[in-house]
Amino acid sequence: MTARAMNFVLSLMGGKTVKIKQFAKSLALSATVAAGPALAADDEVVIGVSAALSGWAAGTYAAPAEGLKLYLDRLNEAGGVNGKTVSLVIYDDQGDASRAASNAKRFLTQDDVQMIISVSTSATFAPIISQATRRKVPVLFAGSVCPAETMPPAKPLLYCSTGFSAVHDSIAMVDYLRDRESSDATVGFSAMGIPISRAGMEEAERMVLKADMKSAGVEIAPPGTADYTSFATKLIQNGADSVLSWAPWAVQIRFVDALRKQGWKGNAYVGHLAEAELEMMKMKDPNLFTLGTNVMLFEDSEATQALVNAVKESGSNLHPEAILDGWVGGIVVEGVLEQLGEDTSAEAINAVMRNIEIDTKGLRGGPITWTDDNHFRETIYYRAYRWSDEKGAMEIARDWKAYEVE
Amino acid sequence: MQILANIVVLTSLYALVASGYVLVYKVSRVLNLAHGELMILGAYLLVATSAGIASDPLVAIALTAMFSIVVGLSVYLLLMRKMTGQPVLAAVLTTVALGILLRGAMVLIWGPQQLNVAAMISFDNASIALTDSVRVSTAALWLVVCTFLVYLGLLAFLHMSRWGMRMRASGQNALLAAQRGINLHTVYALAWTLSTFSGSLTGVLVTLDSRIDVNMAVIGLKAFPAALVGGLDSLPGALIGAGVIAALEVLLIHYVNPLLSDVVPFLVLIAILIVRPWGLYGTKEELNRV
Amino acid sequence: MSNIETGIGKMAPATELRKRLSQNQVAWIGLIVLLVLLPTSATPFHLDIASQIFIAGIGALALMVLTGIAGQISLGHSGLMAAGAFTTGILYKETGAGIWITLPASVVAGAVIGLIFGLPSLRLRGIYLAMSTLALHFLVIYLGGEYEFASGASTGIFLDPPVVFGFEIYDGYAWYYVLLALVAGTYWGCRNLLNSKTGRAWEALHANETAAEALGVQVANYKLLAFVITSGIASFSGALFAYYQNFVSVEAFTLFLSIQYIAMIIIGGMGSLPGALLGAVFVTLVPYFVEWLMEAVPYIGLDITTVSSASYAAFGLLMILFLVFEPSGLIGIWKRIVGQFASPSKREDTP
Repeated sequence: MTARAMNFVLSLMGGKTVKIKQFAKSLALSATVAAGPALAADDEVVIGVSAALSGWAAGTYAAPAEGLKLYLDRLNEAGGVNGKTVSLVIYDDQGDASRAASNAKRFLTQDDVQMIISVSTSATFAPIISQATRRKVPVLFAGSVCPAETMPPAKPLLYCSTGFSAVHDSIAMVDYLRDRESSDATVGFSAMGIPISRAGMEEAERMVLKADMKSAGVEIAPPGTADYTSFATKLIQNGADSVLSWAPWAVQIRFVDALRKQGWKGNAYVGHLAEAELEMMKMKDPNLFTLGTNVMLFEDSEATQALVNAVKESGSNLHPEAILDGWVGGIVVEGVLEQLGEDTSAEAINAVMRNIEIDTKGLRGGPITWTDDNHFRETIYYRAYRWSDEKGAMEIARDWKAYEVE
Repeated sequence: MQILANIVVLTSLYALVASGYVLVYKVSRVLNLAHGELMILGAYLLVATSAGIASDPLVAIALTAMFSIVVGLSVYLLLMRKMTGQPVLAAVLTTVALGILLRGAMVLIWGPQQLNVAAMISFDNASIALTDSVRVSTAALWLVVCTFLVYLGLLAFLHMSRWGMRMRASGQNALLAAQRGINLHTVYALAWTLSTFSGSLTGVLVTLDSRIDVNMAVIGLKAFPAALVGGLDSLPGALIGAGVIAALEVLLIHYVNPLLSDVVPFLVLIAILIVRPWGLYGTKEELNRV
Repeated sequence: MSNIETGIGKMAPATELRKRLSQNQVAWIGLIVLLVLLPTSATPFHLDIASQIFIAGIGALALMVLTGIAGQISLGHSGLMAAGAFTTGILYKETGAGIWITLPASVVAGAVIGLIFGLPSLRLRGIYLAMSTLALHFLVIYLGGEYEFASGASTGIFLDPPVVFGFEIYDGYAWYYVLLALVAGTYWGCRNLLNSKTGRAWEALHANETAAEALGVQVANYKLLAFVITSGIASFSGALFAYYQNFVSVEAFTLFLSIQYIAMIIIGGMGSLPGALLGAVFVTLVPYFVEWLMEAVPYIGLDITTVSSASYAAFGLLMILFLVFEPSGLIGIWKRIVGQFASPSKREDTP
């Protein structure tokens, strides 16, 4: 029933093309990986990755997982970091809790991993956190939504590099909205019936009310809703001048669709998720804004070029944007390895992660900084994007603004 | 008034989906739990035809209709035909398995991401103002019109044409119908074909109004209460059932708690079934074998 | 064996033992011995899969009794497991209760919910009954979700490993033996239940309710009893699941899970208790088998995503193949194979 499939729009229209080069590379890597429980050499770090590669959530998470693998493959090819290479053990969990539990046990009892990376749905968090915490192996959430346990006060061993977060995205969205809307505007909120989305939108409503604006209510749609018309009608009838939404992309955008279908022309603010750029380019809606921490490809910076080239060389037909959070995850792993000494055990890795600053190479607004208390980031930077009719392209509606994470 | 419009549109959606369930059940006593997936397959067929063969929307839709007929026939001839004579649960489970197979296959072929089909065939889903305060989308209007036409057509076919009569006869008493010379396999094949066709039509309309990904098959599940409340073997019942469930859902969203709009229709279904175990207009049956 | 058939005078101990056991019982003992010895040569991953199979087996036995024997179709199995898991989780989280309290509480909770699930069965049959159980599944899931949201445990409830007589059950080997014992016990219990008056009543009402009623079987009572007992067992398996995986979250209990259990009893062979176990083995292993298959066959153009997607479709295909070509399930295949090896004098060697 949970229809949390996120929108990943490709020019894919009839089937996947042959990707011989990519297959050869993955074959090579899987051969090394499939060689069974690795007796990790001192210069090799074994990382277990549990990702939603198939199943209903694959639309969101398969791409970042590939991005992670892409970055680390290239890192290994370049000789690793300080002579240390990464050995990835990737198992599919289908976004399912039981499968994730099996994967976690396998990583910890059989594959002897020193770190676990999760690129999957929040359903898979509980089993992974439970097992990893028990065996004191650090877990990095890269591409999965950041669990509350990574935010201050952070629980040990759990870290998150993912760009989006319900609460912080909401803070940035409300802040931007207040700049754009008149001070007596009524704001409507749309969430999906999963705890994270609900928490984010209810927090956003509190902030809006505190700023002396009015609320048209928070519309919570159960997971698996196919038709958002009635939810939209309710917000329109409650007089919403603008609407804020944070939920899986598919849900957000269908909600905006539902509003527009009823002739509503107000400003809509949505969370920036992987599919945003492509979709917004197709929708050409100048009143749709997205607030996010990741750059968009149209900016064509050096960092984005590196990413686009990497994808092209690999022969994959994934869209570069979709892999961005995984790519950043790879950057984080590299950053951790750089600081790692002789000892490559799980404890050593955790010790490094507990206090680190990682340069995001221009893909985010600033570095990712972790401390004892904060495994999310100390400062989070947001940009606002929209489609511009005048330019006939996407544009930056507001440049990086920093928010301190408490 | 907008709420009423929403109810009408949702009723049309559920009614059109339910017609597929009713057709197959009425004629062959099989509950086709793969209907949701067959519906979505119709939408994906539109993606395939518009991308691969024709870019003209009407041609693409016509081709999709043709393909859906082929799919319906194949499902019966290759699979369901072999299940005749088996216990009901096995046949129903076969449809569940078929649904799983279709879902996996669709993701394999078209990928797991959501697709914007309306953009692909340049369909402008504009908002139409019916009155000052009531607006619907173009696709929604088409949905209502199609549901009306489909029901009219099906009822006319079932009650006024010879094959329709044969279908009804087979549904009422298969043994007797067979003894009177009605070819059950042909009748069943016809039922499956019509059901898949109506399902594909629903899929196409839904996707033009919204976007498509495999999870939209959940609409099939949501239309269940509608089909059951009215009685699984009654077309008019399905229409009324759809109205009841759609109204319930929309009113719950507006006046009570949106999160209940998932659960409550099923609970209401149980309540109605307790009072009338075969649905409002269904016929009592001793079901055991297909 | 000819010694025994002539049977005069005192027999050697070995032959006396053989005399007391039928072929069937020998097979069972052999299986138990095999299972007990298995962990010596298994990897932790294998033990994990085996443990999952055992837990699934307990649930499958429950569903087999309800649907295969008593004939009541239920799609709410996942909801019942959730009920057991959540009872355990909530008790643990709110009161820190130990396993001696949470397990019985879960069984009771399951039995109570089973009673509610069972009430519609007094009026409804077949598909309509199945739909009502589906509705109750959604209700349980909704309540579980609300608890998670209200208690702030949106990622789920984390459970410490259970402590029994001072011994913490966490290690793969420990769980293997505990679960093996539990599934064996459940099988034994169900077998006894079926051989009793209750079991016969269930078979009667499955065959023809009206006739059963006419013969004096209190159909309504036995129907409810079927729901209550099997739901208790299903909840029990849900609680075990929670302790084994050390977590409870509502997202683990999907509709697909209910369908998997139905697949287990059908693929195993309807109406057969060993079939339930065979079905549990089969359905649990299929995804791994398919992944292994796809990785073993080099296929140009497949990335990891495609390989994984294929296993979902393959599950559907396998189910279809079973349903169409082997309606009596795995147990039917087993019986055919055993039938090939049956000796001419296949009488039971009982005195």
